[in-house]
Amino acid sequence: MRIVINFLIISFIFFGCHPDRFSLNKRDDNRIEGFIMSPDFEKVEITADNELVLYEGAFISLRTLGLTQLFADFTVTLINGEGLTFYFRTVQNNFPNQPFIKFDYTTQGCSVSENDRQIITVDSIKAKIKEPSRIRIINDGKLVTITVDCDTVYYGKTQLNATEYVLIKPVEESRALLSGIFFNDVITVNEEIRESIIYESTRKGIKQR
Amino acid sequence: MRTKIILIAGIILSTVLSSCVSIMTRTETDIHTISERDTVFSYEQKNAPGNQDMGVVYPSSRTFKSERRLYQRDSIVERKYPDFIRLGVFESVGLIGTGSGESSYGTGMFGIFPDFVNLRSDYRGDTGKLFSGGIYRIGVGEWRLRWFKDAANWTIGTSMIEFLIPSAKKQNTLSSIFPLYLRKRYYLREEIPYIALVPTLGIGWYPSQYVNLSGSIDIGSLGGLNLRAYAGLAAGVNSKEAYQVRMSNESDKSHTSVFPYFGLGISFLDFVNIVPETYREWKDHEHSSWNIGLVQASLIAAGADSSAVAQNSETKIFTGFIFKIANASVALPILNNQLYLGTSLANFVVLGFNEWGIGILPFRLGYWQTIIADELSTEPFIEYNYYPSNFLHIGNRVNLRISDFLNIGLVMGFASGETSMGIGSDITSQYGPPISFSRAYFGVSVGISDRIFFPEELRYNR
Repeated sequence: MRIVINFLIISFIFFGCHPDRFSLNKRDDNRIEGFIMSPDFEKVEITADNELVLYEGAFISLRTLGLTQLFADFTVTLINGEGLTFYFRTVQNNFPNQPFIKFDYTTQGCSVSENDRQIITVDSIKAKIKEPSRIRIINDGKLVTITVDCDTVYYGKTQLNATEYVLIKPVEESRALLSGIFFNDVITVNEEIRESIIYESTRKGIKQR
Repeated sequence: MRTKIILIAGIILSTVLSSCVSIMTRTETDIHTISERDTVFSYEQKNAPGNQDMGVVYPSSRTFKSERRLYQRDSIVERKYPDFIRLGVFESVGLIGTGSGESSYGTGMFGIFPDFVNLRSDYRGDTGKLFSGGIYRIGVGEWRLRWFKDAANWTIGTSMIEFLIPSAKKQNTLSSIFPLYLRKRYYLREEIPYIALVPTLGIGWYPSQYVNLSGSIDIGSLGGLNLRAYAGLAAGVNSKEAYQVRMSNESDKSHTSVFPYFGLGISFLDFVNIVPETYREWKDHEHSSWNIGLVQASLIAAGADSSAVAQNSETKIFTGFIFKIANASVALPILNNQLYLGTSLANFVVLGFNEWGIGILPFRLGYWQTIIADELSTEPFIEYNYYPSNFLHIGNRVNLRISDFLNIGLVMGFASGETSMGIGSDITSQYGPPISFSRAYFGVSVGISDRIFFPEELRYNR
């Protein structure tokens, strides 16, 4: 019995203490594993099960294990500063020496680039201080979709591999609250959308085909 | 019986070592989903011509279908990293100033050079011994402890078993299975071999209950070898049910054991990582040795009059054996890095029934030559064994590497010397009183948990 207790104590200490790792949506099927890539772990504050605050200098990676055909959903509230940068279709290991798609969401506007090659700039979609916006990033086959609220920032194809990761870091001197963080399988999301459309159509009296 | 126990313990240790991947290695996996083809195409379904009663003007009943075809495959990348700060097989410390004069054990330098005559169960110590006691640990492990806001270089560790032996009085020996150790390292040198000051707090809980507070200066690891200088204080209690007390002359009461100590220690197959190394993949890890292993055993034909391995057999091809425990062949960064300095915890060279020698921590100088890359190598060597036997051993081993943990080979050589110092009766009763010997031999060998490194794995070759 004493051996068991001793081992339990050791195990708790061994495995319970990884200050650079965290989890979101712990009770969800698509649990998100987070890793703090910046050297200072205190730049990231986990405030709820699917909410966190990124301070200046923070850099995190989020992933749901095995999920590459990804629907990533964030509600972003810029607390101060200029904005956030999202990287996806990349991996955390040996970043930034890996291919990536970069999405800048700033008060100046949005831009998307692939391996530092600018793809698109959208000046009309801007981050606003203390105003929440819903950002969705979709990896679906070769298709990439980035939307901010109801506006599409980018919809196009890429040759980069789909990966599990979304990396996020605030632009210099920025602080942001990310809430409603939710990752799901894009096929499941599409099915749910299709079902809801059919349901809406049926309610309006249009015969379901 | 004792041989069987050693054999079983060896098998268990080997099994633990070969199955301890999870405590040694952290595996990280990335999935890359590659979309080979992602197309959407539409096609038209035309009605078959025929009579349709739809009037003169009617809408077309053609339908368009839209389909997406997606061919994907996953490419899974696995990376393996070392996940420990320290992992060792055996550590030994010779303690100074712990015995009370007449009960000094006499464990010798590093605690591994005892007076072999006194290796008997009824020995109760003697006077005039510098190294009066010893600390012994088997199966040592330390892992990163990330507390105090991830303060640097803290570890939590344990060992399979630990003995703190202040003197030959058995009732004062403190021992515990899986004692808990907290250590903090202050590195004076962060390049191999590392040098660190290490304050330590240890707690033993069964069968003795004790606290061991110590500080040490650690040098290593290099080829799994480490040197340590200790100063500390151990305090604990042995209940009268504890085996040490039951084996002693005073088995009717519990015993308190408090002793300050100084010590010099050495450890074998004991690998130390600094934190950045735990983020470097195993395949990129730096190695300093040509060969590190737990056991090398050879069966040899030396032409001795009486065989030590087949005493009752008529055919006496093999007359003896060579058995090396905890070997390290550390590459010297000179002459193309192929010269090496090697040693072993113990080296038994048994040419015949009473022609044998034992070497503790022998000096070995060899030359490592790869014959066929990744598979076949040869290592001529000259080895001087000075304690307890005194003999010179010149030989060559040809190794065929089977895996990371196993290799087989051929050995040939010549050993000459004598065992002039006294050897305990337990050994002499088994192999006969030793005589001086001088013989050539030839044999076959096997290395178990014995890893041969490739030239490109040596850090000097990178």
